[in-house]
Amino acid sequence: MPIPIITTILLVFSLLASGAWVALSLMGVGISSLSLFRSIPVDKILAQTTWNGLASPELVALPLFILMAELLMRSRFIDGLFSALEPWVRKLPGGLMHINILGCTFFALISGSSAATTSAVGKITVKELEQRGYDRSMAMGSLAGAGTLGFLIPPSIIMIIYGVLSQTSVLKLFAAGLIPGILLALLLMSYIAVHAMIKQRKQSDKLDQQETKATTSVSIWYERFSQLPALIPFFVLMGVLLTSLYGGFASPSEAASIGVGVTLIIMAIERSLTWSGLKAACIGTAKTASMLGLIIAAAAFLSTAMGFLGLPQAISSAVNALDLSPMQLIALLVVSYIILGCFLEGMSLIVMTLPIVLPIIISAGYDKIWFGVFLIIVVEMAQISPPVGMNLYVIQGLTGESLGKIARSVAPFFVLMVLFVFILAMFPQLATFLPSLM
Amino acid sequence: MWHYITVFVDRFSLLLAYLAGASILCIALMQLLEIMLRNVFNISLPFVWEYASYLHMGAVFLAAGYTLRVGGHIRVTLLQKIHPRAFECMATTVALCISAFLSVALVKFAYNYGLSGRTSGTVNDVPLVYPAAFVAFGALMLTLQLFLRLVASIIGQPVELTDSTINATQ
Repeated sequence: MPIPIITTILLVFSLLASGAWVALSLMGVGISSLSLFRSIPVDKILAQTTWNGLASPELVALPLFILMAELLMRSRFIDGLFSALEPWVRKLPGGLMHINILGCTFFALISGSSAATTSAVGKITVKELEQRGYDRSMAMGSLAGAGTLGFLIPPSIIMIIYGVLSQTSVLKLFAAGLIPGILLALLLMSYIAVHAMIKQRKQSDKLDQQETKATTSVSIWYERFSQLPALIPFFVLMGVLLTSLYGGFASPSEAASIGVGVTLIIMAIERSLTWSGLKAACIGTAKTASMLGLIIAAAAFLSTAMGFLGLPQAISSAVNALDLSPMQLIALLVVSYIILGCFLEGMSLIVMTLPIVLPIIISAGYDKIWFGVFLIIVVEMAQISPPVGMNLYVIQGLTGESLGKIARSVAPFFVLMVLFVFILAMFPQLATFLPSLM
Repeated sequence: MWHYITVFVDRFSLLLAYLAGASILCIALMQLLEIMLRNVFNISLPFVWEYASYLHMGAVFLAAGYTLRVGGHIRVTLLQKIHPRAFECMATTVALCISAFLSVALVKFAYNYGLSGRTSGTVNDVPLVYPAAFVAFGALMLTLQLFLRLVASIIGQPVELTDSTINATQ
């Protein structure tokens, strides 16, 4: 392997391991390798690619969806979601544990962030499930697993980033994530149900049975429908977002603005809109947007630097020389991403690997939109794999449990996600069907 | 003296973060206005998409210093437990060098835009020196925060704001 490539790979690992912040580390890799191996004005390239990397109009959707999530987390929306969903899942095997999955699925439909989804749903469900005597480990695991749906189910912040970096339609990516997102949610719910049926004598099922006996079929149906109005804000917001996106009224960033506007109106109606809440939401948005924006700028520069060094072509040739079948290639990628995901946060994983992996995937005959969905599921796995898993830290903040215990409770859901990636590889239509209709 | 410097820089960084947050809210309001006018009165505001991009770019960099101060930027901390203080000094030194290089590059970039008088070339013909100056200023604030962080880690002061100190700053 040529010296520039070996040096660049070593620089990536040593700068990240040094503890320097991811965005600056990625810029450092590009600056050092270009200064060492190419006689070009590195500062000019850095400034220009930073500028161009952030100038994309599609990227404006990113801070707006973050703002929407920040506002939603400060609304009473999630309380209504819990009370409306609870009567519907009470009789299922696993009972209220399904609320973690359904709550995250519903919240993911209006929020693009995995951490925001986990945090918002977890704030309500962790306490409720514990009070009702449900298995704490299962509650943490299901929340961490389902929280990742925030990335897969549209709108999704990470899909916007993938779309911009890979020059793929964000709208089509949003559509591509819907079916896999719903299927993954069903897979997680099936696991909870099967787990509950196997451990029938455990406490949660006793509680379910007690709750079931205590409620007659007439009163349960009354309760189910009487609680549904609590979902009105959700349906309004989701309806507005989907109509504006797919009805051709607005671009993704405009749809996000509409989402912000509708969220503010909903909060004003439910009297949860306060000046301090708005200020906190703005600061929270600025923080997340700054963190993500700097990483995107760094990724744009690193991608350019790698292009100058010929790194993507070299690695692509090396992988092609292995003569792997498409499924073997996917297996290799899954293993590589799982290993990298243990040390890198999901977002960094995408921006660092995309310039190298995308050409390989395209030459293997895979679709860019399909690969976007694949990558997002793999990134979801990185979100729940220790020691660097954002969702694990969110749950640690909610429960105070040790990271090791949370990671063990998440393990079955992690395995399910690996399984789902292979299902997606075998049936790519799951991701490509909806975009093909557009 | 050290206390006054950090308090001043923290308050200024917080102010810039509020400005960044307000810029993002402003993007939402501008776009809502554009959608309403376009669909109801068939009037388009041609500056919205372009200003939105500049506001986003500005927000990313203006909030960068405060985000660092409250631990909002992500990094790999696997080696932190071995020797936390040495790790902090090493990480901050590496980051400071890179951030300084970035700041100089962005200041030169903005200066060249100012010198050449280059505009966006769109219907709005925005002089690019203005958004570029905000971006460069944000990068300089990040570098300043990194420098103060390095000093703080050397003299054994807290490197990030806690909840109570954030409230005090606000």
